[in-house]
Amino acid sequence: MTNIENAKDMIVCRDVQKWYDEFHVLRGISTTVREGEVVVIVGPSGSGKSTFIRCLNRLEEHQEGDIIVDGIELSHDIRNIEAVRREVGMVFQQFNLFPHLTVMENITLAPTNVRRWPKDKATQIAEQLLERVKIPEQAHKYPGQLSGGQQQRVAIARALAMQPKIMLFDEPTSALDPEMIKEVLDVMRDLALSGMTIVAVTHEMGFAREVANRVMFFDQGLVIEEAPPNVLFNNPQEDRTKLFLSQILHH
Amino acid sequence: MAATASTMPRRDDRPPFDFSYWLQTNLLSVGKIITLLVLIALNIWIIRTGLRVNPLTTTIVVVLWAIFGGLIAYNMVRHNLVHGMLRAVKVRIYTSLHGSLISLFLLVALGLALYAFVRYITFWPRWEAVVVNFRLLMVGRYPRSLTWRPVAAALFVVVLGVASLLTWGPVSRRLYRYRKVMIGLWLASPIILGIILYGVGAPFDAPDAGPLGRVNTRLWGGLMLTLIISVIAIIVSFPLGVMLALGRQSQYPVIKYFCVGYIELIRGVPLLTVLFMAEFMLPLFLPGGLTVDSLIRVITGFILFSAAYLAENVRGGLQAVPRGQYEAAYAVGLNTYQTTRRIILPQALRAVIPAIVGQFIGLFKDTSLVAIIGVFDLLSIGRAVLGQQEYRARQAEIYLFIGLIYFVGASGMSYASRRLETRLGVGER
Repeated sequence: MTNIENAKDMIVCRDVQKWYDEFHVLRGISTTVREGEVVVIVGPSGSGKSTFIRCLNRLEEHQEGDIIVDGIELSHDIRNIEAVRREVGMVFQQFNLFPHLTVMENITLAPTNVRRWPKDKATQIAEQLLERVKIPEQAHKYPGQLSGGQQQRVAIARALAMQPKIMLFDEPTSALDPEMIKEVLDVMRDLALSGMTIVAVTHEMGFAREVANRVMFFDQGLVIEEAPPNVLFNNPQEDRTKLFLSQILHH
Repeated sequence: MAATASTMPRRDDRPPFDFSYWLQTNLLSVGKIITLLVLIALNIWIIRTGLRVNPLTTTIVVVLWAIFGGLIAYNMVRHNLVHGMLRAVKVRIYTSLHGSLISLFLLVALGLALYAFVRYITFWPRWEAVVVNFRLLMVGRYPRSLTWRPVAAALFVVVLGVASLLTWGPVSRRLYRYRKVMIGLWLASPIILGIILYGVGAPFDAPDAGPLGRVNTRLWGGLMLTLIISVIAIIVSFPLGVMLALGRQSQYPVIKYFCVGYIELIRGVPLLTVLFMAEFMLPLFLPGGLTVDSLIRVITGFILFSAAYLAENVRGGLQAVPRGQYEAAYAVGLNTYQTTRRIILPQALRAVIPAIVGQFIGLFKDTSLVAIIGVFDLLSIGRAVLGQQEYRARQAEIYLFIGLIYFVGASGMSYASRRLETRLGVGER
């Protein structure tokens, strides 16, 4: 977490704009995420935060501005898009595990098909990852046989199996029962402390305070305010930020 | 009616039998009285008929029913619980006055039908119509001297099938290494079977030219032809249908609208029309001198027809796969082909196995329509047999035999589909 100032740029966004038909979702987002940085995005629903994070690996297409990930510009060129997706892992709110494959197959599918690793190597790395997310004994079950928290940890392992340089989290704990949130946050915290570059949309303020370098507050498709977590949470400058924080902290 | 079993009170707190209440529930409305009278009349009629046609069965059924009914009624009046077997009988037969009369009616009718069937099977049928024409029903007008060739072809398929079952089955792991051989043999089987059945060598249409002389497909027929048409049509139309379904979702307008147009065109036309087109129109479009074997044209017609319907079934499966599956696959770096092949199709096809197999069963039975363009499949051979003077009266036997073959084929596919569903864990998720 130290020396972020001097680290190289992993994600550069310049004036990113996006429309859904008439609706202007992203109205000019500019930001730079450096290697090893942990960025947490908060904001009310409909503010464009999920759309933004999904633009970073081109699950959504932006119409104006530039997004450069690990030196590769996201354009219509499918080779660029696939190159970026190889280096960017993503974890979804609804887990999106592949229900017809076992946990092990879920994790090894991309390394063997995309990275062309031999099966032994992929299996070995998958086993290490399952240790890391603390469910090595579930390797041969199907996703439907696991709890929500376990499924989300498998999803994290699946994303990590490609050995990405960046991890995106899109509300990873929102679909979980309260008692399972902690096990997922623990894994995310370990990951953040290991030096992974992370962009996470989440309302887990504890997580943000503990490991984020920077918190961005989104509203109506714009970054209203961004600052280190203790500054933004304790001393917000903008009225909209204050209102939002009072709403989520007092509930 | 059957629900009374679980709600029945225990022996101690059960109210005594109340005859006036029983009358109320069973008789107190015009509708109920009318149905009751109708049921009684029906029962009397069928028992009288039964006594004449088959006195023994009818008497046994009625007496048994009377004993059970009497016992149950006795128990009800004594307000004791009806136990064990008697209780099971009560729930199934004697639930109410109406219910029991319907049961009696159905039991006697069933007994009579069974009796008639057994009597027909044992005394009436003259199976020589089937026995004498057995070769004709199996292979049609395939030359008699070369009958060994279809037999060899069938043996080849059966042996290969059994060997595959052993190789993939739980017999021995040491057999696993022969799987590649098996796959190779299956892939080569169209050529092998083609050589065995159609033959090789020069002079066209010369069955007598050596053991593997050519046998024109006009001479093929019977069960052999039905199987050839349906198996080839099923195997080829499956990948074609899947590709059409995928093409229909393509982002490229040319591919998309070609697929949509094709599917809607074929679905808007009866199978017979497609067959006529394949048989009579296609040759007109082919460049002069080029002829395509009639059987190939017929099979092509079935393939084109089946693929369009299959595409719509597969599309249903594709639409059932959540968007998140595409997103997750793209997010881990899989390209479009890998996503489709590894993530989307396995889930989509698994969801529509019952529909697809249902369609294939339909295709198998629809092959009998080829009769109309002069191809002698199983059913039309059967009709040809009936056209002979001495077998004119043997419709029942011939159609029973043909029906049985279709039934075995269709229910075999149905059984295989259920096995496949269990193995793939459909609905488990």
